[in-house]
Amino acid sequence: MSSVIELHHVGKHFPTPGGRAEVLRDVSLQVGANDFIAITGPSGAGKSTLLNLCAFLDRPSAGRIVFDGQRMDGANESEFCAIRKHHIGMVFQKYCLLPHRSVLENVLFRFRYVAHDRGNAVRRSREALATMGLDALADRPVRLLSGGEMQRVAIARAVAVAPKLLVADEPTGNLDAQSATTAMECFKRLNTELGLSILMVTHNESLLRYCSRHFTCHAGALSEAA
Amino acid sequence: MSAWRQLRLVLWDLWEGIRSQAGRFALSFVAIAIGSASLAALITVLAGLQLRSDSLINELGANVMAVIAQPSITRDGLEQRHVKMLRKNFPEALVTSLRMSNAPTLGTDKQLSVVATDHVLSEVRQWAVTDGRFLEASDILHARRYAVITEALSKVWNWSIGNVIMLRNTPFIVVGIVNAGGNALDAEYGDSRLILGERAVFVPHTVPQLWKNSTQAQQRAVNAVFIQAPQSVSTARLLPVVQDVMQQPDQGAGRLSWVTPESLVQGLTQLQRTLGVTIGAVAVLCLILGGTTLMSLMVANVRDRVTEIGLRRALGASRDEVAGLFVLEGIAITLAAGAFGTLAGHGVLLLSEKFLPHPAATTPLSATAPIAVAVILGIVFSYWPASAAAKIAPAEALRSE
Repeated sequence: MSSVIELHHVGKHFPTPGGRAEVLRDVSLQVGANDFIAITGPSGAGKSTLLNLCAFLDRPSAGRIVFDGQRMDGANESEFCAIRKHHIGMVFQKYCLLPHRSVLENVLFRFRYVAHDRGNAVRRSREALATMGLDALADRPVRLLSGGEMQRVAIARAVAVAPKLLVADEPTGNLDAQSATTAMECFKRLNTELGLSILMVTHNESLLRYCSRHFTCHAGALSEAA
Repeated sequence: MSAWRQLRLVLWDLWEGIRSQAGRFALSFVAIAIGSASLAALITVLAGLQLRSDSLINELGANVMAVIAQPSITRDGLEQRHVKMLRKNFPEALVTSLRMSNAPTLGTDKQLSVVATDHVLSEVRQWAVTDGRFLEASDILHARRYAVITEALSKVWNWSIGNVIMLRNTPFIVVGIVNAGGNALDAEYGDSRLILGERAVFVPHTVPQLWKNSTQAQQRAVNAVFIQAPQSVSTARLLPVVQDVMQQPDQGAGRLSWVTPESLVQGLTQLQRTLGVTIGAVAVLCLILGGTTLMSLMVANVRDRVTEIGLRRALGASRDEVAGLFVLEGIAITLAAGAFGTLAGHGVLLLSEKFLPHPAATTPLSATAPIAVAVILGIVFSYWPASAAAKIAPAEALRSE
């Protein structure tokens, strides 16, 4: 099975007033096509840092990352931007929606830095909203939506450009049980029906049943759970 | 992506950014608009003063100085002999004189200014002859009863070449019409010997009928002498030499006042300096205040929009695109404020024009410089917050919410 992203002996440290803080050490991970991977672990274990590296929001201090068969250790800023534009979808715990804009405009914002024609972008945004069951709310301002609906708008925004990898950082952290289940069913549908690879960080062990693989992160080290 | 589509996206981003911080942007807008209005007003007023200075010099004549006799009971005053003496001492200069008197006009209660002069006056004062000719040397030599009238007089009384006009019961034939100017001098200087008025008639000073009731001394007197310095000599250099000659004790020229282009515009030049410093300081202070307000606005703007910055970076925006967004917002607000302030500054001057001692002049510089200065301030004062925004790590930005 081909890998969407591979991490080989990746380490990440940050400078702090008290010295160097080792956040990730010797992490190796392969995310294959169709993988739905969950990463769990205590706070401060390095889960979000790992996600940021996989989303090309940050660079590793050690090791190498291969994306879609291409080594990224020597990549420059514009190459990172290009991967984020076209191949990475991101879902955040607190949605990160633009409150003044409508549901459709928020999804369309995914195309802000992607070359596109307006008609095609609208069509794909509406399709993404339909997949999330939100097509009827397209013109509603997002501030009037419930938390669960907002998160589904965020997921629709993430998948509107048909990314190769969806990275989700505690996507159900702010949702009630019912909304969390709905959101996870959306993720599962994207994974099985569209073949989208998903890498998700969560504290909620009950969501693991949606995932195909489970990793735990402890003190910067990653290991696959049985 | 087409340029039009890209422009629409940028404009949309700008509108969203400004709408989300409307109060702060409004504050910045007002400060920069006031600065721009002050600057626009300053430039138009200074341009008006400069135009007035240029008009004054033009109306006096290029490189021309005037010597004006002041009333005195103990001295003789200016006479034709002084004109002759000046011509002899300064052969390269053009020297002319005039003597003014009033004469009633037949059939009306209006008075005409009768200017007794020679053929050199129009050349020295650089007046344009609009019809016919000015007085000629032979007219002076043969004391011909010819008259040259002003354009205004020609229009008001419908006089033209060939008409005969009566001055002191003596007929004079109109041989020319001249544009003698004088509006700027009239407003600024107020001395009729320089301005002559709109209803002036120029006649040869040698016509004896003009002086039939005068004493010999009165017949010799002149009110003003004009000297046009040669191109190679400035009036400022010529002035002390002429003064030296004229004020010799044996000349008996009495009290004289001296008018040169420099002395004529001295008051205006001082006014220009004063206004430049005072209004200029206000404009600069307002613009700096506006710029610093804009900077604090942009800093707060960046702080409040950290999540949006993170989201944009997560969606693929480069550092330059993030910095460009904030610089463009700075430019947009200063451009709008600069344009509004410039319009307002011109508008206020236009409305208050009749209360101003000197007319203001709208120039390309007054219309564009305040806007350009505002935009430059926009770039300068938003650059630092914009580069701070660009340096925010996307991962940290997304976590900050």
